[in-house]
Amino acid sequence: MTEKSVIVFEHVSFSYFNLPVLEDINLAVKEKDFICIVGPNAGGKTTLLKLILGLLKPTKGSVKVFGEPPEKTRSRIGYMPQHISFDPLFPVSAFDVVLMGRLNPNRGFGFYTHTDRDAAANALKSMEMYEVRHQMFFSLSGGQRQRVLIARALVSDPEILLLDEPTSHVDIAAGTELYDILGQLNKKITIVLVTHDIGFVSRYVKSVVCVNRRVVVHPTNEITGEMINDIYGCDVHMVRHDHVTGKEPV
Amino acid sequence: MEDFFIDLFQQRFLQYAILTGILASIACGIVGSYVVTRRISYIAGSIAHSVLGGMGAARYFQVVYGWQWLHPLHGAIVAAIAAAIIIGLVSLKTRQREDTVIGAVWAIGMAIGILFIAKTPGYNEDLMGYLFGNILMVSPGDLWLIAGLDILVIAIGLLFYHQLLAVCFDEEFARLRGIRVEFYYLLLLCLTAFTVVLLVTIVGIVMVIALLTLPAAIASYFAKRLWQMMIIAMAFTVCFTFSGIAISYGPDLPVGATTILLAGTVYIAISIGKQFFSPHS
Repeated sequence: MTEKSVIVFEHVSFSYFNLPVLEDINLAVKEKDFICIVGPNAGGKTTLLKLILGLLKPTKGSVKVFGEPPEKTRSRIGYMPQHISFDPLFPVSAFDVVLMGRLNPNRGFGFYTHTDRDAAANALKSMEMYEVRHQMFFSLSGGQRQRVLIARALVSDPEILLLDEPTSHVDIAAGTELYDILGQLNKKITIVLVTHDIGFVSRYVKSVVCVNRRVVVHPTNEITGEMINDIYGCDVHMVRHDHVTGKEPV
Repeated sequence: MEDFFIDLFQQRFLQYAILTGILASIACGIVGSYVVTRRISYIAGSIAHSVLGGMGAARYFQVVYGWQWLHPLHGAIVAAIAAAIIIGLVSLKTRQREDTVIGAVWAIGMAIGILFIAKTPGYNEDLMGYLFGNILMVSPGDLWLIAGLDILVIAIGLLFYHQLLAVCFDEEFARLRGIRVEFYYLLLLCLTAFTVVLLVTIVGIVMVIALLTLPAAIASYFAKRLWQMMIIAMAFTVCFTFSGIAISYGPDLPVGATTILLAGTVYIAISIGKQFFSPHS
């Protein structure tokens, strides 16, 4: 095992008000890994991400990111949440939203610098959202909003990217395109992605982590219908998505 | 209306009133926009009502103990900041239901004020002024205090624009970027408290919440960015306070109530108009 583990869970349990959400999780995410966390709703997927971010503290066990407590390493992680407050009149442009990713505790008051603005423009370009930068954030479609939020997560040059349900508002074709972009990004950054949509795990994903209070890790090529049934607790039809849904990756 | 414009050039008290209105409007546009987007208008309402406690206490000490330097506005500032910090800390640090705390601070502040006013010798004509505003009674001394508060609110509200915007838009993400979310939330509540005190001089305790939120709500129909919302809200607040004074002057109507009715009418008209014509976005 020469590869460095960037995220390590050791015997982690977590409960909300005595309601167990995660039990005895052991997990190691390698550098430049692309893992997909799947599982049923309320199975603890988002909780897992929040533990990595240090927004929640484990009830038992320890979480280490880059070998340190998660609160210390937040600035090196980019995070795209599943939900943000939905106020359709909130007066903020897509560009404003991405700039928020450039905030840091050391900045004082005043304007963003040219470096900040360039970084925001580049992040929007990488998500193919540069053309809509001046539009109001909440006037964008669900899929566009998610891409802008990914740009916001990328604009601080993170070493790990955490994405919570990035394909929940898009159709298969747009989802495949998004995975192509993520596949490119994965050459430089570790990606952890959460989805409840197991049929939609892309070929770029290197391993799948199944979460339903407990965790089972599989390399993508080992997933069988039986495992999925185990995790979801009911029959789930496996849908193969490695057939063509658009252009092939080069 | 003619009388108003003639007197405006001659009567000092009218000039002070207009100046107070303009000063308060600037702070109101900035802070009102934060309050509306962060959805804390009921906290602003609670802070406003608790101000009666401070004003009543200050007036009591002024009359009973002869502390002439103590002005009801001083009491208002102390009470508003105390209310803001109590609500802020309780909602951040404890698991109490926030709306219960907001309601409690609202009523306790008023109760304290009423007790002090009842025990203050003399006529209680002050009470009406506190509750419904008396902008025409603003003295040069008040004006300096109001200008000072105004500058403080504008400076903080603009200097920390990006941090406050991030906290209003997505608190969790702001926290992840290392922004001290609790600090900025308390800062926002304190800015709200100062602005409430400024507006109390114009429309009184009872109607502050309307002047703080209606112009910002109107502005949000037109603005695409938060700073645009602030500028539009400022412009509307200036129009409302100026027209409020102008319209009420001739027929001798209460200024505060006239101003609020004007703002409310414009808000409702624009809201209905927006339904029928081009929907936003």
